[in-house]
Amino acid sequence: MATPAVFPALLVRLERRILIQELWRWLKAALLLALAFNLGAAGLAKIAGLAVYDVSLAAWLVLLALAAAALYALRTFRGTLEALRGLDERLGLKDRLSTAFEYRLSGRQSLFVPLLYDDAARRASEVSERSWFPFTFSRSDLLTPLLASTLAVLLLLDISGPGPASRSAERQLLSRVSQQMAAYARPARKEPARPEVEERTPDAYEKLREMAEAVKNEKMDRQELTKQLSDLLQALKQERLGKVQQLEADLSPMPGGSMAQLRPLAEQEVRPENVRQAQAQLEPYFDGELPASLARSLGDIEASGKTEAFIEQTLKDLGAKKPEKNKPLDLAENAPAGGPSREPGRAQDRRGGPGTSPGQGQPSAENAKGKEGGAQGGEAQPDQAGSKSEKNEDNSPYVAGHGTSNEKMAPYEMKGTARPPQPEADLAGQGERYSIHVRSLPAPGRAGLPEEEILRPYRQAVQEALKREDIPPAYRAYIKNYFLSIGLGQDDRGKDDHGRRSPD
Amino acid sequence: MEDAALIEKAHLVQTTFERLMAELKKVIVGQEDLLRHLFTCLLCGGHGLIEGVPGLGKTLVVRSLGQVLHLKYSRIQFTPDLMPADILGTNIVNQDDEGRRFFQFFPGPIFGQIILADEINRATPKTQSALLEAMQEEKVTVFGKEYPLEPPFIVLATQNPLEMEGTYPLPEAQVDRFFFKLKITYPNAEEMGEILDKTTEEAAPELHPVVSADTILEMKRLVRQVPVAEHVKSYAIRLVLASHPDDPLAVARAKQYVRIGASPRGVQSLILGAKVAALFDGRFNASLEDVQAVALPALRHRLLLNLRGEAEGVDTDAVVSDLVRGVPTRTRA
Repeated sequence: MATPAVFPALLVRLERRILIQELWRWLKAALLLALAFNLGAAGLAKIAGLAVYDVSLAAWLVLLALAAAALYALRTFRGTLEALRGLDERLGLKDRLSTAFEYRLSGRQSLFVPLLYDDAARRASEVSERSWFPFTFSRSDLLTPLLASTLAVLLLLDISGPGPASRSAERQLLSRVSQQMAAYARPARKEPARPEVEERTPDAYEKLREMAEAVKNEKMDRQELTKQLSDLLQALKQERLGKVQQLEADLSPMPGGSMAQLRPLAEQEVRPENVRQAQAQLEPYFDGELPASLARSLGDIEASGKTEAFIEQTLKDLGAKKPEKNKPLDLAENAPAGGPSREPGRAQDRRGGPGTSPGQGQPSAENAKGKEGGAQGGEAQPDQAGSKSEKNEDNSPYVAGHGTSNEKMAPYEMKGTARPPQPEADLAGQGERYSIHVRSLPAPGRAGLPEEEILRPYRQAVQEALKREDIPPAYRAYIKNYFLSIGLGQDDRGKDDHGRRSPD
Repeated sequence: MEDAALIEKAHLVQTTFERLMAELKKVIVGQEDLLRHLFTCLLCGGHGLIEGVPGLGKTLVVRSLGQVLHLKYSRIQFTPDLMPADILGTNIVNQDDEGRRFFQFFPGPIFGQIILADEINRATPKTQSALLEAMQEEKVTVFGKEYPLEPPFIVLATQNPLEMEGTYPLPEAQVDRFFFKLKITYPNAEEMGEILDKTTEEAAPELHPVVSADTILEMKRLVRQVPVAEHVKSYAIRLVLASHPDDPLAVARAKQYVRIGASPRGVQSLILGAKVAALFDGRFNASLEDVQAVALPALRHRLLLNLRGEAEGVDTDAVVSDLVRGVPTRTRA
C-alpha cells in the first residue's frame, strides 16, 4: 500500500504538468496569432500597399498576439480538475484521479477516500509522465508552419512592395518634394522676386502649400500626393485653356485678330517663349503696346505654364506617368462652363479651313494690317453678298470661315468662285442642315474633318445646279457625265432630287 | 493492520459476490449479469423486477438466491384472486386460555427477507399495491398498526411479457419502486447443454448459505461510502433529464416516443448501482462507465412511452441506449 504522501506528491507533479501544458497551449495560440497578425500586416504592406510593415510594427503585433492568446488561455482555462478528468478519460483510469482530487480539494471524508488516493496514485504512477499529456497533433497545428512559411516567403522574396531601404528612400523623396513644393509656393511677400508668379495662381500655390504640409506631417502618402498633383495640374490646364479661349473670343473681331498666335498657348505645355512670341505677334495690333488686360491675361497664362511645368517636374520626380505633351488641349470639351461657346465659330473655321490651319496660310502680321486682307478667307452669306464682297475686295479683314459677324458661310463660297443661283431654301436644300461638330482643333498638318463632310455640300450644289432649267436639256447629260467622270455624284445615282433612292 | 482491515472490508463486496456466484453456479447456468444486478439490488436496498418468458429459470434464480443468502425466503404466487391480506397478513380472532377472545395478527408472506413475487402482473392492481408500503418503507400497516419488516428486505418480482390476457400491468408508482428491471435471456447452446446435464442426470445439488444477513447489511453500509465525483453525479442527472421529452437535454428518441421520463429514483438507482459496480470492479470510486453500465436496468422501466411509441412497438431499451450515446459525459464550462 502506498504511503499517504504519495498522492499529494503526485498531485504536485500533475499540477506542474498541467501548468506547462496550459503555458504551451498559450504559446501555441500566441505564435499562431502573431504569425497571422504579421502575415496580415505584411500582406497589406507588400501586396496592397496599405500599411508600412517594419520591425517595430512586427514587435507590436507580437505583443498584441501574446495578450490575445493570454486572454484566450484565461477564458478557456480548464483548471486542474478538468485536466484530471481528461487525463482519466485518456488513460482509462475510470475517474480515479479526478474523484480523488475532488475529495481532497473539498475535504470530504469517506471510508474509501484514503484507499482511493492510493489507488489513484498507484494507477497514475504506472503510466510514464510523458503519457500524461502526450504530444497531440491537430489540424490547427498545421496552420503554424503554413503561416510561418508564407510570412517568410513574403518577407524574403519581396513580392511586389518596397523593402525597408526603398521605404526610406521614398520618405526622403517625399521630404525633398514637399520642401520643393513649399519653396515654390512660398507666399509672395516672402519672395518679392517673383511677384507676378505668386499673384497669378494663388489657389494653386495654396494647394501646393497644403500638400507640402500634409506630406511633411505624413498625412499624405506618395500615391495620394501624385493623385492630387495630377488633379491640380489638370485644373490649371483647364483654367489656362479657358483664358486662351477667352482671349480668342476677345481678339476674333479685331482686324487680323486670329487665334493663330494664341494656338501655342493652348498646347499641353506652355513655355515663356511661347507667351513672349504671342505677345510679340499681338503687339503690332496695338501699336506696340498691349492693353493692360491683355498683358495680364498673357502673364497669367505664363504663370500657369510655369506652375504646370513645376508640377509636371514634381510628378516626374514622384514617378508618375508623364502626360502626352504633343497632344493639344481639347478646346471643345474643355471649355469652361458658362464661358464663351466657341463651337459655332469653330465649325465655320473648319469649313473655311485654309484660314486657320497653319499649313493653309496663316494670315501674317502684314495681312492683319490689311495689305492682303484675308484673301484666303470666305465670303459672306448670300444675302449679304453685295456689301461683304465689296469689303472683301477692299481688303476687308475676312478670315477663312468668318464673316464680319458670326453668320454661316458655305465652304464653296470662296473668294473668286461664282455663286450658283440659290433657291429660297437653305444652301443644303430642304434636307439635312449642314452642321459640323468640331471635336478638337487639328494639329498642324493634320486634317480636322473627314473628306466626306467637305465634299457633301459641293455635291449638293452640283445637284442643285443640274436641276436648273437654264441648262439646256441637250447638255444636261453631258454635264452630268462630266461630274460623274471626275468622281462626284457616284453615290447619288439612283436617287431622286431629294436624295431618296428610286424604287428601281 | 488498520489499512489491511480497511482494504479487506473494501473488498468484501467483491469477495462475497465471487463466493455467491461460485455457489449459485451449482444450479444456475449463465445469467451472470442477472445475478450481479440482483445482488446490486440487495446491496442498494432496492427491489428487482425480473422479466422473461416462462421456463428461463426466473423462479429458480430467486429461490437459489434466497438459499445462498441465508435470508428468510417467501414466495407469493400472484393470481387474479389474490387479496392484499393474502400478502400482508390479517387479524384473526383468537382465544386465550381463559376464554377471552382477541385479535391476533397473522403475518403474511411479506414478512420475509427475500420475497419472490412470482408473476406479479397476474394479480389485480389493488393487490399489487399492497406491496407499495413494504417496498418503499420496509414496513406494513394492518388495521392501523405498523409492522416493520426484518432487514435486509428485498422483493424480487417476476412477470411474463408475452401473456397479456388476464394480466394487470403494474401501476407506474409500483414500477418506479423497483430498483432495477432485469430481463432474463435465453441461454445459448452451451449453457443449454449444461442445464440439461444438471437437471436430468442427477439430483439437484444442495445450496449452502454463504452470506449472512449481517454481512449483507455491512455491505450495504459500505456501498454508501463509495466516493462519487461531481461530474459523475452530473452525468447521471443529465441522463435522467435527457429522458424527459420536454427537457432541453432530451435526445431525439425520447422526444419522439417518451411520455414521461425517469423519476429522481432513477438517478438514485444510477448512482447506487454505479457504486456497487465500482466495488465489484475492485475500485473505490464510481465512474462514468459504472453509471453507463447500470443505465439499462435502472432506467428502462421508468420511461413511459407515448401512444406513438406504444403503437410502433418501441423498446425502452433503445431509448436508454440513445441516452447513453447521446448525452455527453463532459460538459463545457
